[in-house]
Amino acid sequence: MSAFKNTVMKKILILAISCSVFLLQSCLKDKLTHTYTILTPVYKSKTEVYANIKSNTPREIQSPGKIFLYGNYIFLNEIDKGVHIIDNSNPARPVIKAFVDIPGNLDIAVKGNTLYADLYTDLVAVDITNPLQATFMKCIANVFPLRNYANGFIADSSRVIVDWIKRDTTVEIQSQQNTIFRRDVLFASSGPAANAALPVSGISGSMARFSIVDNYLYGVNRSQLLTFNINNANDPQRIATNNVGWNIETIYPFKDKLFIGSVSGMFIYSISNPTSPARVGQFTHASACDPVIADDNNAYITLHDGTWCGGNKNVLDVVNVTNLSSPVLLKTYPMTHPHGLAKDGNLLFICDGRDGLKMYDAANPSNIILKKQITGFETYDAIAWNNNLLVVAKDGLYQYDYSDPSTLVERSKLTVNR
Amino acid sequence: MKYFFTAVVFAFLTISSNAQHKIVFSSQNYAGLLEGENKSAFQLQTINGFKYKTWFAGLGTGLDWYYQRSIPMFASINKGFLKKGERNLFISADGGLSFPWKRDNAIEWNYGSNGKFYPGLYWSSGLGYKIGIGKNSDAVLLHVGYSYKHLIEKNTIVNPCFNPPCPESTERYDFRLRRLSLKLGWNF
Repeated sequence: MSAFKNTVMKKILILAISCSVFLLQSCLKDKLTHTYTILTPVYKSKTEVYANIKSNTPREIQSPGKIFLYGNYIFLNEIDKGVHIIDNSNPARPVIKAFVDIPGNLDIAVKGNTLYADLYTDLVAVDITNPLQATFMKCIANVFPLRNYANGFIADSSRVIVDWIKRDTTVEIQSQQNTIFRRDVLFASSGPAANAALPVSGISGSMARFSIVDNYLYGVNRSQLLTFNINNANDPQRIATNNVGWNIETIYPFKDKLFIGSVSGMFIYSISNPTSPARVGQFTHASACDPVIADDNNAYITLHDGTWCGGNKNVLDVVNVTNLSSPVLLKTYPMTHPHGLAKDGNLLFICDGRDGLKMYDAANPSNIILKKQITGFETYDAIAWNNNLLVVAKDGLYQYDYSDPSTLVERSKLTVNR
Repeated sequence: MKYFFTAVVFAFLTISSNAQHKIVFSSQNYAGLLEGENKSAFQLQTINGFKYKTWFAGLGTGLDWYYQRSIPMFASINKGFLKKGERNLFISADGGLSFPWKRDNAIEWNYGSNGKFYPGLYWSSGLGYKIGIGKNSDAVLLHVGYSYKHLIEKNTIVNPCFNPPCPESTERYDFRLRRLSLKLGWNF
């Protein structure tokens, strides 16, 4: 009986193993899935878009971009969406008062009662005499011709992409070697500007691509310096175009000069004749993204990697520009991943990406001294004005008091709500 | 999983306190191969626990080089049968998590990529043959089975642009890896 039982058990076992091996063959396939987001554009007609360029209900900050300080107001770009108008009468308690819908917006500048902003490829002028009742005034088409829409979608001449519908999608893939699933990329060209003097025309961050000096708005697209006469503020007129070079990034005004940052270097333009900017100097560096600011004697250029600019440098270059026609590298300081920067007196502020915010004593540009570093956030750009430092970070808009040059005291934070 | 491990230990302590039979510590240590759609890979395992009659239960860990090196951490249970002298067959079932050895996986071709691996489910089951050696519980173990591990990779990609902040996108890869497991081990 026992022998019979063992024989039966063995047969069952052999059968089970055979079945298992058969079944395993179909069960031995690895399954790799890729989950990503598909974006579908939402279009509106240009007429609808222009009608909606006005002070709308305040929104939460979700994706902060560039900043512009004008009097008691902060204009904060919501990337590709529009502009937050923030009442900063009390820097300890900034209040978002309105949101101006400008699809495709990345850059802003303000002069007098007019806000200038890019709308994808176009430039729009918005009357902000009462910032809470902003009104669309004018659109100049095709100022930034290389500004593409995202994800391969290009709107036709009568429509504008105003939003994206996001939908998560999971697909099965054969192997990771085939998984070069990169979402198409938003091409981002943009730009506001800065002014060393009082905020008559306002102050922008160093990442700006717009700059206002007196009655002229200067803007850079990927390869050109554009000059607009804004004597009649609500009716900007394009009056000059200078071919600067390729991969232009930022523009920074100082006195009668424009410092233009490009992937390959810094260009200095004289605007002593404001209608006809003329190149007076150039400083070449290794390929990298490089916002630039300047004072009477030196230009401060941060170079960072990790973008289309290429290169692998993360440094601060201090360049002596006493002789504008022949700038000379004074010193290079290693950084982590520097982006925007600002300077007020001897204090130099650097947004060092994931390494946070750094404040240096730059009394001696050959030997700048780190006075204070705040970590724990990822910073992009800054404006220093009147002992108040505005910092745009990934998680919000911060304001710091730097009246004590040895430290930074946080005044407020408008939190990003993604 | 923490609760599961605790329950296993607690169950054995309970059995131990009431046992008529001897409960002994037992350790299974394996080296073997994993065969699947991807290329063959090496594996090492150690499972330590208690033996009671024909049952064994314990906690295991090891190294699993299949596709992405990982560390499985699991609870294991075996049941012996068809005992003939010092030899017997046993079936096994393991369940737990597979922890990636390397968490960061920044994709080199994309500066902005920020890939990270995360743990996923691990389980296996199979049939073993135990060949006792000597008077102690020393034994050679042969084991064939089916093994599954799940690894999750999440990438936050900063889409390159000229002027930050650059737009970001996130994506996720799920690696559900199914393998035939062949192991040779030593029990003591």
